[in-house]
Amino acid sequence: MINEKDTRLSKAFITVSFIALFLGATAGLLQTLVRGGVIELPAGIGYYQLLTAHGVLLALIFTTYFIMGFLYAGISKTLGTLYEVPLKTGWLGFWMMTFGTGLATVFILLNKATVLYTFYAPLQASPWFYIALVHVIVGSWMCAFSMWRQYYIWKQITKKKLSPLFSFMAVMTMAMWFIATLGVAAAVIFQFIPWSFGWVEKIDILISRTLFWYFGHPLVYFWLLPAYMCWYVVIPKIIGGKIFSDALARLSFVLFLLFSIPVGFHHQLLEPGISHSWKFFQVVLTFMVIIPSLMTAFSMFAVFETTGRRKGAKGLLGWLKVLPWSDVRFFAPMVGMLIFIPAGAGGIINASHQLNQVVHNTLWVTGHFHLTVASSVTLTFFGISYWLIPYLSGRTLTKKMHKLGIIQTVMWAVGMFLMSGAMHLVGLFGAPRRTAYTTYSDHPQAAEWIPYQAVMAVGGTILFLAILLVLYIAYYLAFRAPKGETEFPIGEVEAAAVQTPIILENWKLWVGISAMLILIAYTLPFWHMIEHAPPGSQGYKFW
Amino acid sequence: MHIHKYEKIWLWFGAVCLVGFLSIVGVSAYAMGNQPPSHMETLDPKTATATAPFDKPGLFKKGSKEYEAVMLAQAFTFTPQKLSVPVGSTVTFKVTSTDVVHGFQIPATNVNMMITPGYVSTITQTFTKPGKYLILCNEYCGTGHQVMAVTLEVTA
Amino acid sequence: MPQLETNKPKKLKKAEKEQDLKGTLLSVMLLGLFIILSWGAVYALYLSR
Ligand code: HEM
Ligand SMILES: [Cu+2]
Ligand SMILES: [Cu+2]
Repeated sequence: MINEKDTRLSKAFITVSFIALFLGATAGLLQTLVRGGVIELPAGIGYYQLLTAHGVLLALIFTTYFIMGFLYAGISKTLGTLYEVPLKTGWLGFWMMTFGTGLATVFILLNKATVLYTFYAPLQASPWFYIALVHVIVGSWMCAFSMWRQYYIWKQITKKKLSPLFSFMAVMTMAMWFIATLGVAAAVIFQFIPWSFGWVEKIDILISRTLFWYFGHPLVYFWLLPAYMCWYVVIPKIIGGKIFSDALARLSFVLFLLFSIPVGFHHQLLEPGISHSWKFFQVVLTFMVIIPSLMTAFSMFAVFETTGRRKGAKGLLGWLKVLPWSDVRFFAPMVGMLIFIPAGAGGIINASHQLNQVVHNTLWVTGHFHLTVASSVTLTFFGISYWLIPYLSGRTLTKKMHKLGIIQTVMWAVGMFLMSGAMHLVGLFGAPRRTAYTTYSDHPQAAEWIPYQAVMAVGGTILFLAILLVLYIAYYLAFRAPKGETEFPIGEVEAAAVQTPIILENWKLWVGISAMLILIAYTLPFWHMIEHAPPGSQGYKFW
Repeated sequence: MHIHKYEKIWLWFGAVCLVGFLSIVGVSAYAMGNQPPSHMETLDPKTATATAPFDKPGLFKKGSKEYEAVMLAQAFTFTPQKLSVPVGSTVTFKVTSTDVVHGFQIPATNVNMMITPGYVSTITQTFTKPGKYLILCNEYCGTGHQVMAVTLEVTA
Repeated sequence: MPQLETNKPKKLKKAEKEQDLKGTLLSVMLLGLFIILSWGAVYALYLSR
């Protein structure tokens, strides 16, 4: 059993994450209804205000809080009860982040920060919005320090060279997060805050965008890696199998650290001021980060097949049938994994240099990340919740909840198929993202998009109902389910698997290479931006 | 480290695909000139409307069926608001912003780029089908973002 | 895939290591095919514009 004090920290994080999920999903529902032409917002609420709330609360808050709750529970499980310093630092992180989240939400609701979650300059929010963001970032660093400290103490005490796979992955995820958030923290602290308070008059836009996207791409891996942790470590145990290869799992996480950061230009492919050679160079690095995902795909199918064969499955694909489809702890993440196939394919397209011209800033992109983060990751997080919440609350996952969870997953898949599918298609026709309902003065091209936007509204409504269902399940598992013990499923390694080389846990080496790659990919183009910078921009509040 | 034979096959297959994709876009970019818009020219966004060529935005004929469209992006419209070229024309768009970041997209074509204040963005497109094309802003720029569009008529 | 050969104990050990993963190979190859097709489709759209 997990220590009572540790459960409290995890529970705190998960509670905030589900509150953010509810608020963000409400905004999402309204957005689809507006774009579908079903409703008009009452005066006083703007579409872009909702969109800012949706982006911040879901992409930044729901994900980060859930990840912290999950990682803390897993670290406490695999490295033992949190020591005093890690626990206290964890709470410090929680309160800093929560102060920041509250402050940001208030300023968004006051319509003082309608700049969307990417807050591109020179749109200028209230300085308190940026101060709120700093608290969220620095608070998350506290959590990183606290997890690393726990890991360090564990190593000191046990004198082991290799840590448990889960904790290795957690440390790696936080390492990547820390390196990545240095960029956005620099932009917010050194550019946005002085500028929004009026201490300096102008801001360099291209530098702020570059620092943002230096963070923005690893951000998506920060969402994804905890889902991969569930797939690599938790799923094998749930289906009654073994981890395919400890070494390959670690190797893939090492590759994520190395290649997920020096690639931010693939979000800036269509903007001036960055030479196409540097863009192409980062596109090549972007393609490197696809390799560990290909490895993950193989590992997952291999776990399913070996487990199925051990259970006596015959034929080429007979193992599919013996998977525990009625176990929601498996079903929800599995649907998430399957959705990652089109999601990943879309990502390769987005990153393909000039091919980006077909999809950039169209609804295709919105469709894409509702498959990645809002389905693959989110469904995996729901799948984790179904055992993590009762594990923390000392209750059990009942048969009925399994069933409801499966209905929830199916609703999500159907809703997302409609919403994201329509977004992908209409995006290829050219419909822009981040745009309120519009007919562009009855332009015939825009008129063709409206039916797709209506399908989005249907999908969005189903998704919202699915959110209500998952919230009910979470509430039930936290407060109503029968008391009992629920396990934290941690897989064991296949006996025949090779010994893991200890070099995979050589932090100095990997962080060093990561820093080197970042310097190679960014130093010259960044220097060029500073050298050839145009005069900066004053702030604008166009909302 | 030991890797299963099939995994090796798969990873090699994947790597070859990725190299294939990169070669296709690489050749298209470097041998055929299809680079994503990456213009390096800068100017002062505050005085952009007084800086040539943006002091006189408009459509200029540069050759037979060759045009240059000098355009300003400002919340929430583009200048000039109406453009018209004969079918088969090649138009080079030269755009800058006087205020915030905007987008510049012509649906159903490959024209798609960001307009960052302080920079000039350019892109070239040949219009082979007649019709009324939308030029729209695809980056959030404020409350009126959804109306920020002008039309380009390609006449038969 | 190395097959079991009863007269060679050394190979037997290896066969134990190399699990039967034909279904996995098929699955990932289908996945690869899907990626190629979708990429090709959007590339074709790019060329046609
Ligand atoms: C009830 C479920 C959901 C619905 C109905 C929904 C709907 C939407 C819609 C309509 C948009 C914006 C379209 C536009 O660009 O104008 C959007 C944007 C977005 N959504 Fe969702 N969504 C849902 C769940 C999620 C989840 C769970 C996440 C992440 C974990 C998420 C992340 C995002 C992000 C990051 C954006 C982009 C915001 C921006 O462009 O600034 N959404 N969503
Ligand atoms: Cu990215
Ligand atoms: Cu706009």
